[in-house]
Amino acid sequence: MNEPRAGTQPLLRLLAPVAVPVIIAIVLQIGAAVVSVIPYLAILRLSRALLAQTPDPQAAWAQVGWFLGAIGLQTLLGSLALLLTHFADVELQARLRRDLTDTLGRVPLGWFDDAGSARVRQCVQNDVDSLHHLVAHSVVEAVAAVFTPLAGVAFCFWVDWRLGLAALAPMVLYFAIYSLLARGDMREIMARIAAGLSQVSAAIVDYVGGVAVLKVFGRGGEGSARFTHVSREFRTEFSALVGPQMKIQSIALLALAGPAVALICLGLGTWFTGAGWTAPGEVLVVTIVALLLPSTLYTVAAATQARGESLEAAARITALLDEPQLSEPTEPGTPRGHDVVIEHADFSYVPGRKAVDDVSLTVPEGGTLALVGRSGSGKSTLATLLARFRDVEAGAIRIGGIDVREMSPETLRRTVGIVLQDVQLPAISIADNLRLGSPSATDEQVHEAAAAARIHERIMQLPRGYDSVVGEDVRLSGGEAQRVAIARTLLMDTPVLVLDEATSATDPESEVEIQQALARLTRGRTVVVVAHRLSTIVDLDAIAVLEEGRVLEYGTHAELVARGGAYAALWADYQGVAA
Amino acid sequence: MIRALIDIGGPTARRDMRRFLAFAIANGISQGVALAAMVPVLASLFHGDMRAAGIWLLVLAAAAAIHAFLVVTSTRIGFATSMKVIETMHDRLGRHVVRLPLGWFEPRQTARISHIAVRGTMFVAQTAMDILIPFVVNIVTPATITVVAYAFDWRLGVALTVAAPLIYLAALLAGRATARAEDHLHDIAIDTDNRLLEFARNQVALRAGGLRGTDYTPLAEAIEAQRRAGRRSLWSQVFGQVLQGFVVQAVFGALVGLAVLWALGGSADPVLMVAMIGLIAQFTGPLRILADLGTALHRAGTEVGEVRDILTLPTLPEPETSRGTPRDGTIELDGVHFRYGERPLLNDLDLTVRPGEMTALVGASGSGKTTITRLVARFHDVDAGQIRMGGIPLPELTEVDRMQHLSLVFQDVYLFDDTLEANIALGNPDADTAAIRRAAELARVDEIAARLPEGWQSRVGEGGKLLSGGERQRVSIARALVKQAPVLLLDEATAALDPTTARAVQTALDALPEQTAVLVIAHQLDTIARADTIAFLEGGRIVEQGSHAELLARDGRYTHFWRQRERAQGWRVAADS
Repeated sequence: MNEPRAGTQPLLRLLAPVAVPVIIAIVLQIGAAVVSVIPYLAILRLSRALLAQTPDPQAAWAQVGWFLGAIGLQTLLGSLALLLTHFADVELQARLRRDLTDTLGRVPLGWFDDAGSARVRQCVQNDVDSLHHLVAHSVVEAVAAVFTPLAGVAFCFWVDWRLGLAALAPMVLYFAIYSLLARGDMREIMARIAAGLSQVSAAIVDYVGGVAVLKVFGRGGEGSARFTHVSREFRTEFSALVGPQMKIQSIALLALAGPAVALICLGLGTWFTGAGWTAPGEVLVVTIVALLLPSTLYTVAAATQARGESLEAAARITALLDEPQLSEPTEPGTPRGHDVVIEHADFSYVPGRKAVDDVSLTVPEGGTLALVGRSGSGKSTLATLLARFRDVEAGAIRIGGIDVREMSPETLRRTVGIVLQDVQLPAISIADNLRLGSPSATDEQVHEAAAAARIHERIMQLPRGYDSVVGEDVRLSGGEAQRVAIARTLLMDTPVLVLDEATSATDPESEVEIQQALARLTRGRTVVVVAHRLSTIVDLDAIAVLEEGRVLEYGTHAELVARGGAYAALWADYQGVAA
Repeated sequence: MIRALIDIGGPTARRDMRRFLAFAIANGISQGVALAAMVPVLASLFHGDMRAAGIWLLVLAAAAAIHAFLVVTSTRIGFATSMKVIETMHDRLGRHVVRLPLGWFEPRQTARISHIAVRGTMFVAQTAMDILIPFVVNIVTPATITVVAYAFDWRLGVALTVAAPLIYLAALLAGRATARAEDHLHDIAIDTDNRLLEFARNQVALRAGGLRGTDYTPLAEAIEAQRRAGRRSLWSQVFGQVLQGFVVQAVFGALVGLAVLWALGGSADPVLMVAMIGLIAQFTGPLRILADLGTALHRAGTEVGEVRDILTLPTLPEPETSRGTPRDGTIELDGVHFRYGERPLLNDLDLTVRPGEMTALVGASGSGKTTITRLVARFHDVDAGQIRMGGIPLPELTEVDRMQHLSLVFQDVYLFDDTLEANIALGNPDADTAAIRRAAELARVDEIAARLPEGWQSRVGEGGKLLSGGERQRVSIARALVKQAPVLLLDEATAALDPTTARAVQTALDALPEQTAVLVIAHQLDTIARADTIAFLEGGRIVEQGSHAELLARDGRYTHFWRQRERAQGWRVAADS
C-alpha cells in the first residue's frame, strides 16, 4: 500500500460507472466558459453606449441586462455541472464501499492478520473519500480552470491582438522569473521537504509513544532530549530548504498579483491608446479579464495535488478489489462422514519459512486430537487451515473424504465450527449474535443453546434480555463473551469442531462455567484442540506435538510421557508449575 | 487561530504575530490603493488626457512597488513566525508530555496525542500562513477600495459600504451550510467506520455465520445511510451555493445599475462610472473568498487549539530532588481511596508489603488488583490516603528515584524496538553481558534468542510485536532479574500463561534477592499458595487477608474461590462431565 506509483488506469476503471454524468458535467462547464465572455462584451458595449457623444440609455440598459443575464447563465451552468458530479460521487462512493466490502468478505481470512482492520478503514472510507474531491470537484473545476481563461484570452485577442498579448504578459513574466530564480531540481527539494516533515512526524510519534517505557525506568528525560534534538534538526533543515523556496515563490507570484497585472495592462494600454491602436473601453475590459486570469492558475495547482492523491487512492482501491479471493468450487462435493484428514499440508506466511511443513494427521469421525507446542510452532495456523481461513500451499485437508476447497462455503460452514480464544461479538443484539451461524433458529433453540452454554441466566438478568446490544446495553466479561460464542457454535451444531485456546479463560472466576459449556459442546463431535494447559487434554485420543511447523511427536498422553521426548519436557514444565 | 498560536508560542510569538499582522495589513492597503489607482488612469484615458494617465500610472507603479516589498517581507516574517511557533511548541511538548502521569499513557491516548501533535506541526509549518495572509489581505483590500471610492463619488462609497457585508454574509451562510452538511456527513461516516472495523475484526464469526461482505446487514445499512445522508446534504449545499450566487449577482447588478443610472442622469461623470465598473469587479472577488478562508481559519483554530490542550494537561507534582531516601522495599498503602472517572475503584484500602515477603492479590476481574499495582508505581495519584515506599510518601520522590526502587512486570509489557539483549539491559545499564545472560536464562529468554534468526541481537519490533505475549513477559521478567530493585510488582497476565512462561515466573520468584518486597497479581494456583500473605479483594477493598492455610481454614470467600479454581484445573476436554 506504500506509494503505488500508479498511472491513470485504475482511476479510469473506477470512474467508468459515472462516466455519463461526468461527461455531461464537462460539457456544461465548457458551455459556462464560453458564456463567460458575454459580460466582458457587455461592458465594452456599455462603455461605448455611455461615452458616445449622445449617450444611448436604451442601449446602455440592454447591455446591463446582457451583463447580468450572462453571469446568471454562467453560474447556473457551473452549478448544474457541480450538482451532477456531486450526485455521481455519492452513488459511486456507496457502490465502491459495497464492492469493497464484498471483496473483503471473500479474501482469505489470513489477509486480515497481515493488513489489519486499520487498512480496511483506510481503503473503504478514506481512499473512497479521496476520490470524492476528484469526482465531485476536480474534474469540473479543472475544466473551468482551463476553458474560462482560454475563452477570456481568446476574447482579448479578438478585441485587439496587442491587448491580448498584454493580458498574457503577467503569466509569461511569472514563469520567466520563476525559472530564472529557481535553483536545483524542484522535485528533489520537494522530496526532501516531504522527508523532513515525515521525519519530524515520526519523531513525535516515537517520543509520545515511547516515553512511557523510558519513564518506567526513570529515564523519561532521555526521550524528551532526543525529541528536542530531532525537532531542532528538522527546523534548521526545513528553514534552509523552504525559506529560499518561499522567497522565490513569493517574488515570482508578484507578477500575478493585482497591482502588477493592473500596472502592466494599463501601462501597455495607455501606450496603445496613445498610439491610436486601441480604445480606452477595450483597455478596461482586457484589464478586467487579465486580473481574473491568475486565480485559475491556483485552481489548477490545487487540482493537480488532489489528482495525485486520488490516483494513489484509486490504486489502493483497485489493488484491494483485485485481491485474490478464496476459490469457489464449480462442482461442490458433499462430505460423507466427518473424519478429518490432513495430508502433507504446507503453509507459509513469509516465503521460504514454512509455518506448517508437510503435516499429515488423521482424526477419525468422533475422535479427538490435541495440537501442542511452543509459541510459533504452527499449531494455531494448522487449526485455522481446517476452517479454511487460509488455503494450504501444498497437500490437502479433507473432511468426510472431500477437500475443504471442494466444498461450497455453505457446506464448509455447516461442517466445521470454530471457537477462538479472542471471542468476536459484533455490536448487534445478543440474540442476533447467537443466530449468526443459524439465522433460522427459533427463540426456543436459541435459549436452549444459551442455557447449555451456561449464559442464559446472565442474559435474562439484562434489562433488555436477548435484545441487549453488545457494547451498548451490556459489556460482557471475557468469560461471558466466551460462553456466548460457545452457545453460538452449539446452535450451529457442526460435526467438526476446532477449539483454538478456547479452554484458556481470560476470566478465572467463570472458568468452571466455561468448562461446563465446552464439555456440552464437544460431546459426540470430531474435535481438534489447540491447548497450552496440558492437563486439559490428557484424555484425548491423540496428541500431536508441533515444532517449527512439523509434527515432532504423535501419540496418547501416556505414550508420549513414556517416550521422554519433547512432550515429556513440556509436561514436566507444566507439572512443575501446576503441581 | 491567532489566539491559539500565541498561546502556544508564548510572549515572543505575540510580538512576532503583531509585527506580522501589521505587515499583512499594510500589504492589503497597498494592494487596495494600487487597484483604486486604476480608476483615474482609465478615466484619464477616456478623457484622452495622456499626461494625466501617465502621472496616475506612476502612482499605480509606486503602489505596486510598495506592495511587492510588503508581500515579500510579510511572507518572510510569516515563515519565521511559523518556525518560532514550532520551536516553542516542540520545546513545550518535550518538557510537558514527559511529565504526564504514567497512567495516562494508554495506546489510544498516545495515538491520539501524537496524531494531534503531528497535524499541528504540519499545519503550522505548511498552511497557517497560507490562510492567515490572504485572510487579512482580503479584508483590508476591499475596505481600502471602499474608502477610496468615497473620494471618487461619495454615493458609490456608500453603495460599496452597504454591499460589502451583504456579499460577505451570503458567502458566510453558504459556507456554514456546507460545513454543517459536511459535519453531519462526518458523523454518519463515523458510524460506517465503526461498522467497518467491526466487520474486519469479526470476520471469523461473520464467515462462520455465512455472512460474507454486504450480507452483514448492519454494515450494508450503514453504507446505505451514508449514501442517503450524502444525497440529502447535497441539497442543502446546493441551496447555499445558489443563495450565494444570487446575492452576489444581485449586489453586483445593483452596483453596476447605480453607476449606469448616475451616469445617464448626469449626476456623475460617465467616464468615472465606467472606470469604476472595473474596480467593482475587483471588490466582490475577495469578499467571496473571505468566507471560505474564515471557515478554514476556524477549523485551523480548533486544530491548533487541540495542541494547546495537550500542553495544559495536568501533570503529577514532583519535587526537584527527592525529600528522603526509601530505607528499604516496604510498601505501605494507608487508607487509600481512588476513583477513575465516576467509578470508585479502591475504597479505604490498607495494605503493607514487607521486604523479603511476597503478597498475592487475588479477586475477580474488576476488584481493583491492577489498580493497586499501578498506584504503587504512581501511574496515578490516590484521591485520599497515602502510599509510602520505604517510609517516604510517593509524591516526595522524583520519578527517577521512584523507578530505581521498582521492577515492573505488567500486562502492558514495556518493550522498545531494540534488540532482545538491549531490552533486558534496560533494567540495569551497568550489568555486564554475563549477568544479562544469566537473568535471561532464568527467565527462559534464551529459548527465544535461539528461535530468532539473529539471536540476542534480533530486534523485537515496535512494542515487542515480533514476540508472542508470553515471550514479551519473559523478557520483562529477565529485565526485573537484572535490575534487582527492592520492590517487584508482578502481574501474571492470565491464568493461561504458556507452560514455559509460567515456569519462568516461578523461577524468577525463586531467584530474586532475599530482601525483595514482592506484590503479585496472582492467577496461577502455585503462585497464590506460596505467597506469604494473600489479600482477597472484592469491590475495591480487602475482604480477607492471611496465609493460604489461614484463609482456607476460615472457609470464606477465598476458600470458595480456591475450590472453584481447583476444579477448573482438573478439567479435561472431552471427558464426560
